[in-house]
Amino acid sequence: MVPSPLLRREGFEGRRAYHGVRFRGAASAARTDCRGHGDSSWPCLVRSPVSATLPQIGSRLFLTWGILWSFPETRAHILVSSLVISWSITEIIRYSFFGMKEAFGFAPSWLLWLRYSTFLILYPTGITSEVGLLYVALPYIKASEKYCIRMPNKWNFSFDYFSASILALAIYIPGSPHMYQYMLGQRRKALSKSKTA
Amino acid sequence: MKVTVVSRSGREVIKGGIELHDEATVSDLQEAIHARTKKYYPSRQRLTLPMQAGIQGKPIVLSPKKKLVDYCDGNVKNLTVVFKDLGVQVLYRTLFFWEYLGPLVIYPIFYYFPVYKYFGYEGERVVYPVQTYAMYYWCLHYSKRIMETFFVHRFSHATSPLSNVFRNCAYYWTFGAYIAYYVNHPMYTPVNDLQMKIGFGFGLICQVSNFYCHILLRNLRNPNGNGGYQIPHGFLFNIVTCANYTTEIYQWLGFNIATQTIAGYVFLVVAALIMTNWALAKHRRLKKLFDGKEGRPRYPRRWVILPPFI
Repeated sequence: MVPSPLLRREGFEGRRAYHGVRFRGAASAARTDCRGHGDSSWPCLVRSPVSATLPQIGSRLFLTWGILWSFPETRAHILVSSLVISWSITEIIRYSFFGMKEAFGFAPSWLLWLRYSTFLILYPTGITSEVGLLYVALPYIKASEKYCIRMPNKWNFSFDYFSASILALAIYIPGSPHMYQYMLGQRRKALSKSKTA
Repeated sequence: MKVTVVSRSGREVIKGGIELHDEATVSDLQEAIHARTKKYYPSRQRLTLPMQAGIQGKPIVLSPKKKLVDYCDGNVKNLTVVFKDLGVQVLYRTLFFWEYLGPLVIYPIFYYFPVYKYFGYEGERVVYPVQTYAMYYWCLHYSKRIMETFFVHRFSHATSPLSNVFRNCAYYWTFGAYIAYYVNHPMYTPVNDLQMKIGFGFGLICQVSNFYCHILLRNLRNPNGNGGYQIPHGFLFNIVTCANYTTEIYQWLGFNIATQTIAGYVFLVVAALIMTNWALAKHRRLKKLFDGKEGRPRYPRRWVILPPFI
């Protein structure tokens, strides 16, 4: 990265975004909105399928703890700002929406619209930030040997965090279109239902 | 009688319907649909009675051996059936063959060939006896499975969707490679001799038991393929509904006790979860079918799959 006054300022912004109020706590709290199955065998707060919520929760936790918290060198990157902004706006809208539905039984149409439209921009920006930060972190992951388990050991097991991160990156290739398509489908359903209501 | 064939959205699949004689069976209807559509062979067709509006529950699936009149409620001249395309089908034999062939071939590759140099491990590797026995045990297991597929098992549904081939092969082949990688690793740490013998010994006993369970299950079913359910009995089936899964799980436990890899234990847990799901469904089905009413025997109190837990 070329050191320049602009980049340094954005680095500062990135770091500030990282240390910003309850960033790690909020991202981890997302774990509690576990998903609801059709057969509802698990107690749940949100009625979304596993294939849509698990990747989101997985990537949030991975980025927050596995990359940003574990590798401080990444925190200064400008993508941290775009990441936090994308996640924050999404969550503010999403939880306001759910909160209103739980508390009042309905949500205003403009909030519904926001919930099912902002993702059109925020998913690309958020996913790009995630992938970008993952990529930026790779050299640090490789060098640090953090979370790695090497052979030989009694349980004949090994774990290479660098390879796991590459695998995580690879999952974004089919994963991102899947998530985007899912939201497009939800958008069509939600916005057409409100028209006929 | 005239049979109207519609899709789930209400569209007519066969224009003008199909004319069949009054004693026709569902199987005859399936043949007729196949003749008219060319593409949809019988095993690809799922025919159900239309759902009544507002009534919950599962749609009634037409059984190939039964007569069409059995599904007509009063009006024996007209019947409407709902058609669903199950997609390209493969024989269960084909599915099982390909999913088991993978592990049978992949595991010995890690044992016999110098694959580890591609993972960065140069030089000769020392092979412990347990690694050799593990390879024999593993290959015996999957050879047995393939033999059973062709000579022992009697399948209630002859086919399975093609997509299952990819899904199942991914599961077996990936886990096969994952386990083979660790057991044959140049830096593998063997357990002590006694533990190895206990592991393989116990595993072999369970494999033989598992084979016997499969023989018993085969003999439950009528050779002319009625496919009707019976209450399983004999040997371990007197105590546990899905004794075949029980012995399979314990057989893998034996392998893991002898080889001691996290990879092997992960596979054991995942396989046990999958089989437990199947076992619960089967147990429930049998209890529902054998309810003790109308002359049917009552399903006895039994463990589902893993005494004393479930």
